[in-house]
Amino acid sequence: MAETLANRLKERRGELGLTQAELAERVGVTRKTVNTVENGVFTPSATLAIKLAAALGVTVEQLFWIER
Amino acid sequence: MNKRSVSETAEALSWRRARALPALAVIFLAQQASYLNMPAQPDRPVDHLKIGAWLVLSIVLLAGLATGGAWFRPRAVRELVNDESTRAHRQASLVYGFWAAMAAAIALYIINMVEPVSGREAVHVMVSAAIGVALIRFGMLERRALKDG
Repeated sequence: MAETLANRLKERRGELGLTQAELAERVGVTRKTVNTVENGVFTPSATLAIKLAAALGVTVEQLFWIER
Repeated sequence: MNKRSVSETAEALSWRRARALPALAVIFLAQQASYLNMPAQPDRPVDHLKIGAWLVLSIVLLAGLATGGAWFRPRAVRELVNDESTRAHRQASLVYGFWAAMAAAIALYIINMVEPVSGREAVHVMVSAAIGVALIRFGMLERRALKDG
């Protein structure tokens, strides 16, 4: 069975009242990259996942998990 | 340049690139029609000029695909325009380009059994197919990524 990387990026971003562009600026990527990660279209590198988690004040495990 | 303007510039450049790439690919591939009428051994100056123009354009487009472009922008903008997802899109499009070149090579191999194909013609078709397909794929991936959200 295929495994996918699910995330609660949008939810957490919403809790903090951040736009995609603001989060993108905090982690040093474009809004497009944040958008594709949120939609599950793009699987981020470990580096970006750690940066996103740090910017949103959660651990990587709280932000991303594997769905089977 | 402040941080806000760097991200805004990168966003605008990403949009421009996503819109321009498919158009550029269509123009590039449409241009190839003019080479079909060329003799197998071109000797007129205009033929050499055409081949030279094609070669220069191909090298520029290949360099754009390999580096992501934005060469004349500040480093901060260039890095942001070629961030993680863009690099992934470029890699994926280069894979498509590779397979397009392989398909063109196999087709030329078969055609050559019936009708002789010169080395120049074969290289021309393979390079054009690879660049054209890679440009279209890169543009499609970028547009899709920019649109949703």
